[in-house]
Amino acid sequence: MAIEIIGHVVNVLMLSSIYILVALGFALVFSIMRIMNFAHGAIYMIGGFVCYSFWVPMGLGPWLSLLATMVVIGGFGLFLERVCFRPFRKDFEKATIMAIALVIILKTGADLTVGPHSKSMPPIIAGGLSLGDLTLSFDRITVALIASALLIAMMLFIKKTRVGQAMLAIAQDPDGASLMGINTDRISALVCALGCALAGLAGGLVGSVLVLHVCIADTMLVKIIAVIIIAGIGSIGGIWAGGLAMGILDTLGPYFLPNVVSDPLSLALVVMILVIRPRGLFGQEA
Amino acid sequence: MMQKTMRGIIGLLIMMLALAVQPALAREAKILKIGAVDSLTGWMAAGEQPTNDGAKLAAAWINDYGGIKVKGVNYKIELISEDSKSTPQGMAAAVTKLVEKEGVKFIIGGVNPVQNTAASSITEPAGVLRLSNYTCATPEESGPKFPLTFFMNSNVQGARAMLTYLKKNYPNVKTIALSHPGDGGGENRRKHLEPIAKELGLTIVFSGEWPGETVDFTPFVRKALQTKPDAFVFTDAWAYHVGSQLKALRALGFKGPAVSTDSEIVAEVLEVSGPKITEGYAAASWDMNSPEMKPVFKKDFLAYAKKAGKNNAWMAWGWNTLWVLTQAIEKAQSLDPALVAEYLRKDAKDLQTLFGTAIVSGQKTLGIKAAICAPQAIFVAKDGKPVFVEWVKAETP
Repeated sequence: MAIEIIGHVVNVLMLSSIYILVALGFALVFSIMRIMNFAHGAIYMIGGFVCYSFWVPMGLGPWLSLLATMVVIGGFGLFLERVCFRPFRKDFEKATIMAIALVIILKTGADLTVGPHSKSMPPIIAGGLSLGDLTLSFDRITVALIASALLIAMMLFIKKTRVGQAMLAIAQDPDGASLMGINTDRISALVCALGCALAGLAGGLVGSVLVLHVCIADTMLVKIIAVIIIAGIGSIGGIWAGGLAMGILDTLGPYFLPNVVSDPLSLALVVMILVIRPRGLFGQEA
Repeated sequence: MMQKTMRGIIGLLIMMLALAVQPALAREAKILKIGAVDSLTGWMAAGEQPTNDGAKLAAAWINDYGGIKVKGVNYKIELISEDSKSTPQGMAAAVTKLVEKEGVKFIIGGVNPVQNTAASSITEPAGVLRLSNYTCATPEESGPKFPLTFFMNSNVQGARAMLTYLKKNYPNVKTIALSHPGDGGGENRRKHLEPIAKELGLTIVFSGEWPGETVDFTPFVRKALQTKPDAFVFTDAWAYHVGSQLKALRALGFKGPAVSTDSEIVAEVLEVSGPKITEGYAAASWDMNSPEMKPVFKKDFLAYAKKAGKNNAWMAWGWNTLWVLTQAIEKAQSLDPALVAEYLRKDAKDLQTLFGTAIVSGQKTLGIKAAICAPQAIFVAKDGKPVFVEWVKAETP
């Protein structure tokens, strides 16, 4: 039983950390730029395929491929901020339309280039740890560790550095922050690049433990929105709790419950939170 | 005088031209519109987009050989493709357009229960014959209440062959776990497989559906492994799902054999989950590069695919579906969907496919003869390649 629990814990950590990585980028962009970047799921998917291209056809290996993916997708984030989002930063509706347009453009682009095919990368670290009947794959442990380490680094970056503090200041009061001399354009660009880089990395990690397909963009977008609703819009810390809740539901639900119940379980939780606590578990009163 | 002679020559030339053109005009074939509804976008596009491409290739091939002849009239095939967008509402919209706007009397396409049900709700009342690419053999999509709906493949057709393969190659396998997609048809699939398994001395210890929005298959696979199966059987899935589950199975330390009972392209699964994880996985289907494929596959199908610059195995599905439909129309010598359906149900024989001669079956499973099954070839993943095992008979009992 104890061994079985360890197996579940590793899976929960792996899945949750992926959800948190992607949702954190989405939350950062929303908090600082006031833009619901619905293209974030598509960016995560594109990141996975970019990583695949570096890793398998170009043969760069896992570590360099993951790093290169972060750089490329981060660079794409800079482009998005400058060209697509900055002109509409103060116009929520237009920015939302732009984000939806981006979803269509990115997914169509993926359809045209990757097509409907699935891809996956080999494990980052092959093999596994045998514990009686259970095997814990090193790959999953590695992914959980990489994602967790990055999340901790991100939180430290936000809490401990001047740039991170500037981000928080803009999130709380953009006009006030601007009056205090914070360059909101530069911080916004950085946040968009960081958010996209994290999503790209998550896509690369998923390609190693799971499988890449154009449709993972939509699945992930639903998960991101669920995490954000559970956490509360604007609560970056709450993302951890939201991601963990989703990871637990998606790992233990299919294991302990029949398919018909486990599938809508996470969405039922989202609906429940919207009814009982519309601002989310950690969101602040409007 | 000179002018008169010139006029005479011109007149003669015009007469000769008219005489030459007349038979050509008479020979010109009529057009037979056939609709093709496939998911060109969305999660089912992986298999259905190439299926649609295959139907287009078959149309070109049939037309290049003169089209089909019904009651002395030559017909060229005009294939009208519509995107069913991987959703039932997309399917309904696409079929409605084909029936009402294009006025087609024959449609090919559809692969799962919800898509098939959505399509039949429009084609059956409209008197349109539809030859679907696949059925999960559920009563919602097939049966006596759908007299104009036929299926080129079923998820039952390879069950006997693959469970026999499992038993023959892994004599120690006594228990199996069944993995079904989360479409509510798992119980139906188990019901079809159980008597065959029992007959072969196999016990089904797990039969479960994976949630439709599954990101990580590990919890589902772990749940199945709790029942300690000797082998894992995928009853219905795309390569994406099989590859994902194989990855999870091997990550959890499962070393037993894994097979698919539906038509799964082993080369595709290899691409998804890699050579090491896929090693030993087997399915009854076909392979683009195997020398064991039939001559029409190697000669015509591959040549047309090459000409179109395409190389996806699922194209064979679409090719077969259109080819069989046009053969049925030609053999029935009628453009009346009801008469073509009657021919298929009562008199159909010698229906050729890329894999050999197909049979019309399904009376016991579907309650009506509506499943057209072509032979399949078992391939197994060995050293990163699909290796041919044998040709097997496919049948929907």
